Amino acid sequence: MAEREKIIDELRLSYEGLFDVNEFYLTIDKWFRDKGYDKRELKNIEYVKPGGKFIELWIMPWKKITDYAKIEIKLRIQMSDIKEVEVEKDKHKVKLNQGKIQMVFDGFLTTDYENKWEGKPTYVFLRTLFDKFIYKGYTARFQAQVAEDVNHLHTTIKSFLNLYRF
Amino acid sequence: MTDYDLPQEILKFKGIFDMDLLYRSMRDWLTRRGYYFEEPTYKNKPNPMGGVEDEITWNCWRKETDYFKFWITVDFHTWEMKTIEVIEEGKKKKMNQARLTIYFNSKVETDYQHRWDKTPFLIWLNNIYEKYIIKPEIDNIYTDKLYYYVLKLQNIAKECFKMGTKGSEYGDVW
Repeated sequence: MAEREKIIDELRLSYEGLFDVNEFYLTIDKWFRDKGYDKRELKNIEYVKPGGKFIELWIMPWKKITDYAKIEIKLRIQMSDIKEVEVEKDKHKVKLNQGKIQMVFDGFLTTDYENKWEGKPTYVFLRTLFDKFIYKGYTARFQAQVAEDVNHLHTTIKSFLNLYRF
Repeated sequence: MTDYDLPQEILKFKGIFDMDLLYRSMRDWLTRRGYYFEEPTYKNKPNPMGGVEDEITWNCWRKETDYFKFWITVDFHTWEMKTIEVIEEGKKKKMNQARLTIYFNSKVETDYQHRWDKTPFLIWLNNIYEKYIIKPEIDNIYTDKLYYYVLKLQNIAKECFKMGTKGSEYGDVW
């Protein structure tokens, strides 16, 4: 089994107010596409309730950095009480959504994802030695990249949501 | 013969939608892309509490090359489905109200013609071929291509449901 290390543990973001659900989703999608991640949607739930729509989205895009290590960012998004509203901006009527967003970010670094060093106990031992002493510098660099990517995504989403504060 | 299973995608929706449009759109998408379409399961159970419970399974496959075959399995499960009338753009339209879950499973099958499993030597040779020679093609081309096709199919369903999370920036991939 591959070694998965949690670098970012439950970084949270909450927002309540105006936003566009579809634009929000596409912004996240575009960020991952631009950064070279492959798309992966674990769960996509949408319920229409009397108080507004409820959307739950779990995505876990991943990117192979080398043939030994890959980055996975797990994003759990919950949007509740979403209603369609019409607001006036710059004398134009714009259709937006109003609701609450709760997001949780997790960043993982997965090594030996092809399980090449799992077959025998000797291989596992060699892999552990290699990871701890020989490859340490590279692993630290990959961990920093995970943290940087998650924080950048967090900042991008915050900036996007701040655009709707008018 | 090896099967490379791809991650499962799950879509859940509760609300008003057009089941007929969903069914036709997804089936047409598959048949236009050359997938052979089979529906091995269609269960329809009336619920004494109201509504109908449906279970539908689609098995679709397409020969990508003489060595690779793409499989897409779609499982629909609906609960409490009722037909209702809504007014859309001033016209009355029959729609469905239900709770629905769709599971998208897919896999890439290799050596579907069983040319390489006739003798132990050929099986061993095929293992070497798949593990070391064409592994990059399997990982970067075939499994990747099928996965993004399934995401496109999933997006068809999202468009039918008019979900907020419809659309994709990966639409031009494959």
